[in-house]
Amino acid sequence: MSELTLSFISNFNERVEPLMNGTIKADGIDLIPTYSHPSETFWRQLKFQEFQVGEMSMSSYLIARSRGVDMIAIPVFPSRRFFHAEQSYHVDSGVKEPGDLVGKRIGVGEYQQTAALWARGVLDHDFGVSQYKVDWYMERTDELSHGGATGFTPPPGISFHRIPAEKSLASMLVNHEIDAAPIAGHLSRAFNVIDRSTHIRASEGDWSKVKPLFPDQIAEAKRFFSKYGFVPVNHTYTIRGDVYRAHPEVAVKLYDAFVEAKAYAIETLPECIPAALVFGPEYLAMTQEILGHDPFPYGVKANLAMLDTVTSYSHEQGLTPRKMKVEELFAKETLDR
Amino acid sequence: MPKLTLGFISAFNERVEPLMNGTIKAEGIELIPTYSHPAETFWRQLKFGEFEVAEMSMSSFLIAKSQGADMIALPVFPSRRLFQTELSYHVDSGITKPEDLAGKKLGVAEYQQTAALWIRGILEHDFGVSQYKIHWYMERSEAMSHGSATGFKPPPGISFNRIAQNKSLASTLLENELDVAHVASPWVLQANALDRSSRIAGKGDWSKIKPLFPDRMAEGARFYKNHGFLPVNHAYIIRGDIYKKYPWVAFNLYTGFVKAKALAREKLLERIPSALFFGPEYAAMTREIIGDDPFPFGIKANKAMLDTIIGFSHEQGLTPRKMKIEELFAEQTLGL
Repeated sequence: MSELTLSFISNFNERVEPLMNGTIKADGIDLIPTYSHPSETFWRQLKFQEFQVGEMSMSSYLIARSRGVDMIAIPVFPSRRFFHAEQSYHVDSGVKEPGDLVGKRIGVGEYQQTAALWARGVLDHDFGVSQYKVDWYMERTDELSHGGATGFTPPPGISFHRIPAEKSLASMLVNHEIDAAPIAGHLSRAFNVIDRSTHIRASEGDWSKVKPLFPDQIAEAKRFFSKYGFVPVNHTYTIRGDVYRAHPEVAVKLYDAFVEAKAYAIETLPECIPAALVFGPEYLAMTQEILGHDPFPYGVKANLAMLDTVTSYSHEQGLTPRKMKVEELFAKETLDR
Repeated sequence: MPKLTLGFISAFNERVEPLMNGTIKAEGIELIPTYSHPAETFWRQLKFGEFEVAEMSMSSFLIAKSQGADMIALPVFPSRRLFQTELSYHVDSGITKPEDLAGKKLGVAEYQQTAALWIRGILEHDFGVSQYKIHWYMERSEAMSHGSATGFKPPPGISFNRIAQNKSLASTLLENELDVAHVASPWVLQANALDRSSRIAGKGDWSKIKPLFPDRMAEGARFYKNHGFLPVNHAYIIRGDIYKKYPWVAFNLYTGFVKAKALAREKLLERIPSALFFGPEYAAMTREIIGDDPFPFGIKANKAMLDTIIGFSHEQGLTPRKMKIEELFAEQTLGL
């Protein structure tokens, strides 16, 4: 039986790795994997659609779909984080707690990126920081940004600025040219061509003046999860339109393989925890106590609340002209999953 | 440029991995890596000396050296665990705390293994449970054990028993033929030729099996505060013929191990699975308890640990005398 060979781009992700290294195989499909930093992946996919299957920014996908981009997602969400809790502030900013961000300058890698969408939404809905009362500073250039590929223009009413090309989120934050940014330190991210904070690291600055907005990450995660019941999703996976039309069965086959790969990752998780943590099993139990045994649910049904929230945020933030419907986002063969 | 090619056997260990996958090279040496379960590694190495450089059980190494084995160790200790916290008991045994173990039946994979040595020493010195008041049960058979390679005989005065061939640590604990056993090891589920618990699971109610230290972090903190180290499981040895012919190999390998560990420390945060979500927070908790470097290398940084394990080995009758640090490690590394 001949196999369908599909090019596949994704960041390393322990729940996807079994598919990329061949431990788990999608039925009748051979994947040619390319490991890539998400910043580069989405820019390449949105601009050139080089890969037949690829990891995709949830926020940029909503935007691209609203403009009729020819790709379709499958409801797998192996990357999730508490983005709003990743903000840091400069101590000279007068910021002490999240509500103090009103009137401040906040930096983002990219205005439309999923991390920024969640941070704006949660700060607005849970901490009363209206997105219209903040000055936004974006690092990525027009040319090298996901927005460059989807025709981004700042939403009406937003105070939007660009960080000068010779500076970065990191350098602006440590020098207090912005008050807050989703960056933890000068070495916090892996190098990629899109994000200048990964090459302009401002290591000479006084990083002791940069503090986490949520000093107790675990407490904030608990609060968020017990209120919303999900961990915010960063990325999903899409199939290029031409491939999906020629082989519609690919959607379910890939979905099933993603489910199997995740199950494998859950099973092998305890042995993947570095022994240097010494108390790996205890830490895993703490996480399960807070987030349950499957913090990465797949399928439309298990993600209705999350999808409703992200599509609403996207619309109310002026990124999509209307609230996107679940049925237009995911392959119809996967809608009952 | 020619390099010395050496066979190298080790379990996967994040602090050794850069040497095994070639990210870090020891000067002048090309390693041919074999990944292997420690139970099999030590049996092969003690019995057949197949590899020129090998991971080695600390306890079996002390015994083998006391018998004149032709191998020399490097003071690198990338595997350490709180072995006493890996004991589990059957709820019908009447045990509720470590002090209750006197008079009970305790199972270990192998009597002379490093984990069992630390368990005996810590129960005795920290919890007052004499090794002579416990009934010891060993799973590995005489043929397939490290002791078979070093001529193990039960030390005088020890109540020593073997677990029947058709049973295992897991099955005897489940059926409460043992009261307590060392079955929580991360290796236990990985099949290997020596340990039957990976094959004979036994029938019974696992909800009746409880950890002897329900708060492992509290016990870890207590132990580290009192002793200042994490118990070492394995070191690495060089076969005597190689060390005599190429004495430079010891120092070169040692610095390779040091570099590999440094790289592992640098990469630790990114190696924590994202499914834990709070990796940096958990790493900070571990640092709070055990400090910045739970795996110190070198003789100087390990003096207290080495004195303790050498003392335990002798007082448990495994070595006929207290071994000296200078006879265990390559002389080029003694000042490190």
